[in-house]
This record gives sequence, structure tokens and C-alpha cells, in this order.
Amino acid sequence: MKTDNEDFEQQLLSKLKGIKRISPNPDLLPQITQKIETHVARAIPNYYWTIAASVALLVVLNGVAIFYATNSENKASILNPMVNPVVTSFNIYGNE
Amino acid sequence: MENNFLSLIRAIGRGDRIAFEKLYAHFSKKVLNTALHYTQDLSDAEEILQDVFLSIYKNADKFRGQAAVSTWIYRITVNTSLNFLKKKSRFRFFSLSKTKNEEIVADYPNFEGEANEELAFILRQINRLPESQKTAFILSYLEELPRQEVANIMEISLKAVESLLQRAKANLKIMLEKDNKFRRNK
Repeated sequence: MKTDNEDFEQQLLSKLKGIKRISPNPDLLPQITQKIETHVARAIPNYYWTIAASVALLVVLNGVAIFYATNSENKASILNPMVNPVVTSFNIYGNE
Repeated sequence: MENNFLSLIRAIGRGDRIAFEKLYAHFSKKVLNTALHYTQDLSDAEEILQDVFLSIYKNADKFRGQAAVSTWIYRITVNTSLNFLKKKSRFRFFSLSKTKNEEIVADYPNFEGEANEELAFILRQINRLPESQKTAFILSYLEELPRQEVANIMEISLKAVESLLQRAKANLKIMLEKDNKFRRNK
């Protein structure tokens, strides 16, 4: 004796067996191949990415170096006024 | 057979187009029908088919053979189909010309004539199931894959698949009986 659930399941599955499987349209493969070609053409090789990354790194390092160089120069002038003296001549009475 | 597919994937990873065509010839029908079960619209399923094979081509060099090739392809198909449906529902949400879920079946080539109206109705209800139940149901009963393969595709245990199927069938019973369109032979 089948339960109501088993009976439902059996009927449902037998109805689903009626679905026919379809085959893809033959035009689809050429379309996919075309998409692949576009993808391959658009893809930038790793070699170029490496060069671009190296150049970017050099520019950043250069910037950092300039920043530190100017900063340390300023600090040196604050700590030691003789590095960049405000009064350049101590001759009060002038040259006679 | 599996070794043959694996060598095809390796060849595709090196850019071999003939290997790609051979793989396409073997799997395209499976991919299209699986996608069609999700979308119930032929043009959408064809779009998914294209995306799946493009993804296979792009990722073939990364395939390490942890799973069978067919499992990998089914996994890509399921994910692509679910993402497609999400995107479509988001688009429908923002679109002015909203179409109800009930109208989707219009372009399902397996349905011709009034005799198949009931089948179309059943598929619409399957489409209303939660994602994981829907996937387990489609792969098990419509694609007729072994339960273990379904578990591998969904990356869950065999027990979890069985539980999802039980819940899917219980939900379908409620949904189908509620509308009285599912005619049961007494």
C-alpha cells in the first residue's frame, strides 16, 4: 500500500519524464569561438603587466625618496641654524 | 573516458581549439538542457551556454583535476544559471515593464500544445523552490545524475542532498496541490 506522498512523488516523476532534451543550435559554437577570439585579443600578456608594475614601483619609490630628502633637509635647518642661516653676515658695522 | 576529458581540458588550457570543439560536442547538450531547466527560456539558456563554455576556455589552465571534468562543468553551469537568474530578477525589479514569474515559460521549446500545460506548470513551481532545493531537484530528477555526483557538484554530503530532495518534494506537493492544476490519477 503506497502512502499519499509516495504516490504523489511517483506521479510527479513520471510526468517529468515527458520533457524532451533539445540540442543546441549549430550557430552557437561559432559565436562562442568569436567571443573567445575577442577575449584572447583583449587580454594583455603578463609581460606587459610586469613592465607596467615595475615602472609604477620606480615612480613611487622616487616620490618617497624625494619626500624624505626634502623633509630631512628642513629638519636639519631647524636643528642647526648654521645650515641655512637667517643672518648671513655678522659684520654689524659694515666694511670700512 | 575521464582521462580523455582531462587531456581535452589540458589541451584547451594550452589554447587548442579542436580540443575545445570536442569538449563542446560532448557537453553542450547537457549544459543547454540544465540551463533551460533553470531559466525555462531558450534564448536565456543559450546565453548561459555561451558563458559556460567561455568560462571553461578561460579557466581550463587552472583546472587541477580535484573533481571529475563533468562535475566541474555542471558546477560552472549551475553557478552561471543561478547568477543569471539573480541578475535577471534584479533587472526585472528595476525595469518598468515588470513580467511576472508566471510568464517566463513562454519560450520553452519542450512545450507544444495544451497537453504539456501541466508540465509547464510543474516546472514553474520547481523554479519557485529555494536555490539549493531547486539545484538538487533539477540535477537528480531532470538531469538524472547519480546522487553522489549531485553531492559533488553542490559540494555537500550525500545526506544533505537526500534531505534537500525530501524538502523539495514536500514543498512541491504543497505548491502543486494548492493550485489544483496538477492532475493526479486516482
